[in-house]
Amino acid sequence: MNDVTTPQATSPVPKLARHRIDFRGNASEYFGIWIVNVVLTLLTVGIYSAWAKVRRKRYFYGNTFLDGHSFEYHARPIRILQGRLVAVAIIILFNLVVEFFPIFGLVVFLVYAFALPFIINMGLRFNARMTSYRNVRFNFAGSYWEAFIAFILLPLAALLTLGLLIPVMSQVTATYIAKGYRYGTAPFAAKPLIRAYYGVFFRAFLFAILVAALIGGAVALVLVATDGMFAGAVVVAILTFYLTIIPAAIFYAAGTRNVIYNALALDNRHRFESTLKPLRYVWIIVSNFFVTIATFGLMRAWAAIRSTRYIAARTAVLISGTVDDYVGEIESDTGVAAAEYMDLEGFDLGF
Amino acid sequence: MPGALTISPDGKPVRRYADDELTTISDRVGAIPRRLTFTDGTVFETEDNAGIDRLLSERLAASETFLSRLEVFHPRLIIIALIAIGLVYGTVRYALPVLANMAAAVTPTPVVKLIDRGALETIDRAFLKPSTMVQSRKDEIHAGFAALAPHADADKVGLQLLFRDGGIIGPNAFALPGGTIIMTDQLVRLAGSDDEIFGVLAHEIAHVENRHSLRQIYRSLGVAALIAMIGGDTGEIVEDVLAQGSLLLTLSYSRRFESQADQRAVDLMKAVGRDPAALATMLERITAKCRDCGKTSWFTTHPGTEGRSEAIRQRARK
Repeated sequence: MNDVTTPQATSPVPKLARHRIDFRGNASEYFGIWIVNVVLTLLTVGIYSAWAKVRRKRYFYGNTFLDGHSFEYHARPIRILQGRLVAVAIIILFNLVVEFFPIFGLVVFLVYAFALPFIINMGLRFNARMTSYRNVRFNFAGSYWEAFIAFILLPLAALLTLGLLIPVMSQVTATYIAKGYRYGTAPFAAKPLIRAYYGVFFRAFLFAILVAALIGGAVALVLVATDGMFAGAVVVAILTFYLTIIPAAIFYAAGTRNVIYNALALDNRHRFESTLKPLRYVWIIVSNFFVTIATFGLMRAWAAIRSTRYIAARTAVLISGTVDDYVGEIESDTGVAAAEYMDLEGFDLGF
Repeated sequence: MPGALTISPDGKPVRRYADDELTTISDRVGAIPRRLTFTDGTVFETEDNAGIDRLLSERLAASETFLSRLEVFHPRLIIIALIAIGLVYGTVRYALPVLANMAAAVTPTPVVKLIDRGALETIDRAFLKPSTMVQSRKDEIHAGFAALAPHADADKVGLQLLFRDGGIIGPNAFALPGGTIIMTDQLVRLAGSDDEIFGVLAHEIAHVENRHSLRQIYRSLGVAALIAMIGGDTGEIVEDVLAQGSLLLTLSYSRRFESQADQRAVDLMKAVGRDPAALATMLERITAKCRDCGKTSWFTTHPGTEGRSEAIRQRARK
């Protein structure tokens, strides 16, 4: 899978130059931006959150440097606000119908299942087009039915097989997103091995068992010591489940990110490299969580910078020759509602 | 910046742009590179934020640089952070309850009825079983309930009493926002007298009357929205966990709601000529019983035991 250092003999490929992603954001600077965002969002009853999002994303993108140039986020706040309003209206409508007309539940579910691939494609396209590097915008070209397989059929199959097909789902989804992405007009492509995904899955599973044993034991001990008794069993089970499944999911996310990045290529020439250490990443996210809680949210800015910096430091692009010759197309910013819908519903599909 | 701008990387002029060819200059965010876009699509990028700000000082109004000046790491941020904390506290403590009460007040009755139907379906499936109590006993309680109901304002919305086997939730009673009151067989069996049962029912009727559960639902929805607004950055777990946690709180009433319902229950019991202090006895009974029934009792959803029995007896004596 990692044949980065062995260029194919068929084409005269120039030497790959390794450029590490350089994240230059720092916690004190971001703290100011973040806390002003919070205050203005609260004072405007949430309306400012669209402007807040744009400033936040511009800060993170603008501080992400590759080969001396930073990325840029271009979305206009007013469009984000419009998209968000449409997305909220759809979510409310959807929930009201399900809540009050359970009879139509199946119909609504089917409509949703068939609309979702379309929404995801639009959202991916919006987010890609709003991102640029060296004045060349990214783009995303989706396919409805491939999205349907990746985001509807395979999650269902994974559910029905009690999670056994999760690696297949991850592989298909990541491959689909990768090959839809464009830098200007140059396509991305990736052929990650399903075997690699199962490898990560297996390690995440072992990690989960270890965590469950440790946490379950600790919680049970505390409860026995404090005479928790009967209700204890239920509480231990629920607590252990959450405290296990969350770190395991983070572990899996880090591992699969490595797999897809290491299999990714831009324009058949430039390669990517991700060397996250899953355990280290779990530690960063989990400790971020507790630090944020312990400081009543005030260290949230520091936590966000910390995890971003770690991811950047462990990501590199292997540039073959130069990236000077890519040209962009003028892109419109349609699909903002879909992107906001994905945001609100917690889809996290970006790179 | 009247006149022209010459772009000359490495001191070597490449192209000269007239002032009106400059279309946009990106706002300052932290120290990220600034971008000057020209009509021909060319973008000039520089990390010299101070230089750009100097160039712009004559052309931009103070309001346009207000944000980036406010955001600079400066002791002033301590004040902004304090304002943020105050705003969050004020929103949760004062604004949300008021908004939740308003939302609860304007929610039409048919909508609330539909919430009941959905909620009942869910809890029936999740942890309740059909009641195994004999019909004659149910009829007795229904008769007493029918006498109690007309004294409550909530009777207008139509109160309905249902019996269920509580399963793991044991001796329990709860009110859904639309007037559906559920009592478990275990609670009926635990009661020392009928008045104790009706005391609990009066308490639940009071919750319906004041739309307590609806207000609670709106409050926790508000808290979840607030967390999403504040956190809303990199998809880390903090927001998710906190939002889920606040929704779990939907299940329990606040202490204020409890004492309000207790007081109202005493009045209702007096109105039908039953022993108003029986509710206090029942509370103590559940407390005693639940030393070994752990965290799934009536008290997880009806908090604040200390002093409650005392307050009930006090009002009953009046």
